[in-house]
Amino acid sequence: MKLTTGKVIFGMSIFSVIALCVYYGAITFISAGNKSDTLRMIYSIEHAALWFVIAFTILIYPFFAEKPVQIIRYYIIHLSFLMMIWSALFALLSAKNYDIIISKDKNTIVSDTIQIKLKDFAIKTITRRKKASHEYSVQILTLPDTIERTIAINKPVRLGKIKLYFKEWSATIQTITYIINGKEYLSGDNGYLQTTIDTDTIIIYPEKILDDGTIQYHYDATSPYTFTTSNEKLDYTVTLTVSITPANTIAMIFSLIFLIVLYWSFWGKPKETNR
Amino acid sequence: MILFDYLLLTTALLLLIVTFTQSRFAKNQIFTSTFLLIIWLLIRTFMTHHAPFSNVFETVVMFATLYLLKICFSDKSVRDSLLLKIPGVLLITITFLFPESLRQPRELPAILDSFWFYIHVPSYFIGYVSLLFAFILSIIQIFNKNNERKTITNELQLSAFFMTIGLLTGSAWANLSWSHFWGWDPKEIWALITWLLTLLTLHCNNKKLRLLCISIAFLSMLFTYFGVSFIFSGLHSYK
Repeated sequence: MKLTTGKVIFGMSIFSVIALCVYYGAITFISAGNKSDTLRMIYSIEHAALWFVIAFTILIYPFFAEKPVQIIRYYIIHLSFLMMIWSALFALLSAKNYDIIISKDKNTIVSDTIQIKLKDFAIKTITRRKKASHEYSVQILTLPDTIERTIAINKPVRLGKIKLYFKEWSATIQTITYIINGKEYLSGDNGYLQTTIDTDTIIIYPEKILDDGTIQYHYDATSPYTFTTSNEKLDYTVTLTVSITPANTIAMIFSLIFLIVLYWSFWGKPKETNR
Repeated sequence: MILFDYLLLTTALLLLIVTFTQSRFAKNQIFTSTFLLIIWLLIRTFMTHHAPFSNVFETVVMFATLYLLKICFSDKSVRDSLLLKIPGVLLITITFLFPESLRQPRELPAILDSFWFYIHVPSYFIGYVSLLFAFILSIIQIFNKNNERKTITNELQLSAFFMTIGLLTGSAWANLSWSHFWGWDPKEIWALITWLLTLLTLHCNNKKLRLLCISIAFLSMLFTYFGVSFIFSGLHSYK
């Protein structure tokens, strides 16, 4: 087999794609899902070099190809692919994400012009066939327009160029009223109660707040007592992700163009190509 | 639930195995087997109140159904190939290996409750089924010397196109759920690898080189589908 420049360039392109796939595969094993390690390897010279070789060989290949290539068709297909990749990379690099923590009745600054306040946080538990799943909804009040908006999973809120996403929630317990043998006992800070009934020392405190917002208690006493609670006062704080993605629309446009081009190249006319 | 689950899947499997024999009864049993799997998916949808591809168990049944449907709609020469039916048998057999916890119908997690769920997942499965089909056809081509080149190319094109749709709709969905359209999650990276390798297979003209490329893409697809979920933890853990 005679080695020509066209074959070398084609081979380099194929080899680079395989090398890129090996590199990506290695990333998942080396970083094992560790976000910072993964990003360090993604934003590296080696990664950029592989994409550069792929792009370069794709662009120059028609000039060295052994068989004649339909140049316009070739470039429409391959440039749309490269443009999609580049625009996606640009969109990723230009995106800005940061977290804010909001709590009830406190104003939190989101940007120079927007402030938000947590109005309500609700957990909806759906149980079917003994399996429960939880849905969270965050009601916020935006300022200065004083409009109430709801953020939920898969339902971010858009405020101009900013999008707000629900990330996680946490709660702190203030005080709890425990009812033991019909008598009320007010807990101390964080719901902790230590008291003596007859000669028994009883210690009760909230051990964990479960995903559905209910409290799991730790109970310790020398004799068994039954207790109920009232006035469980939880202070919710919600973490929201603020996302500013100025180039997402460009990436979306180029992605759609690539998809259309792909369809046209596979099933449009003419069908035969010189790849 | 358990009864219908095992009964339909076992019958579908047995009927598919019967098609390997040359008996008169075996003729066209692949259609009955596919029909039973479709019934399984419909009952599952009715019981869970969501599309039947929310966990790995359901997706394997869907994978098998789509694969058998593809065989049903193929030319008779392709449909009668025994090698093509082996993945179908394997896929249905795999469904019996899943633990009871995965077999139980469950509520759709809030994160999956999205419009994109109904486009993203099926797109990938059409892409994956086509890749599997192309892989088996390219093996048949090597041994039988039949000219299945056009069919293989069609399957690879279908695979590449639907994987692209899967990749793009996945990005759109991620942008809605996770505040970024691409998070370099292990599942995302391996889906990207499979997509790139599938695009690469379209550039191989040599029969053996093409089989090699398709094999690598197919292995990558298997790893993306099964391996990643069980080896790595990530945003896509819906076991």
